[in-house]
Amino acid sequence: MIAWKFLEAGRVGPFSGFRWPVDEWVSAPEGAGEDRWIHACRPSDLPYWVPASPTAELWRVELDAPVVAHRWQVASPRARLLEPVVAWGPAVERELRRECSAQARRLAAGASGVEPAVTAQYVQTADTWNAGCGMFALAQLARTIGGDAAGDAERARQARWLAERLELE
Amino acid sequence: MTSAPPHLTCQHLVELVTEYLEGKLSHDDRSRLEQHLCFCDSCVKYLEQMRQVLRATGRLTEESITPEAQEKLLDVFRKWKAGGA
Repeated sequence: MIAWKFLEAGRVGPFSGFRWPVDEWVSAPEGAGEDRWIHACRPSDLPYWVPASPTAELWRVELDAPVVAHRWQVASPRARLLEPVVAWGPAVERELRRECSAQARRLAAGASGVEPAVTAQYVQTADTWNAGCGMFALAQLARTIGGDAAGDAERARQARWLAERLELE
Repeated sequence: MTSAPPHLTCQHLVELVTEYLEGKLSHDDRSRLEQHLCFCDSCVKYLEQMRQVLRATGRLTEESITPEAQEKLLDVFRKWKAGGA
């Protein structure tokens, strides 16, 4: 299965600290449970994992079978990095931040039954923080206005934006 | 699949950090915590501080502290508990 993975500069796993080789299969520790398998993203998972660091990298990865689907990621006992998504970088991060900010304003302007101070707080967060935080704030704003389904729909919209902008297949 | 929202605040993270570092969180809770870490620099710093504390103190045993140091620590603790520190 083809998936994607955000890494810190130099192909370092943000939580594991593992430095990934390119085009070499990497296995989870022998006998490791699913919790310690290698995690990656489907396009729909990417909005949840957008990193704050401007030097972060996004890589296309191949996952070996079996692949287990979780709510916000997929996991496999073996994976290899294929190539970086060159479209991802500070310019797209800035574009994404502006887009989140504009969308938050649109949502806030059409909100009814929600305290303006609450929507203003979300808009301010989307305006001033990094893209990952802006996307989170925007999804929370949508959830506050329209419930869980609206929050999930906003996350799906963000995923489509990323997939189109980064030309993920 | 659970319908719980992927919403974890900095305060939640502080409450969960010990279980996270001990690998005791459920898969979804760990995901929520790590998603928060993706965009919250303050919590990244906090987590690193907690790791440093564990590295520094994880090796200490009761026997490795001098009686004087032990008494000082207990004194600080007693004052803190009494609200005087």
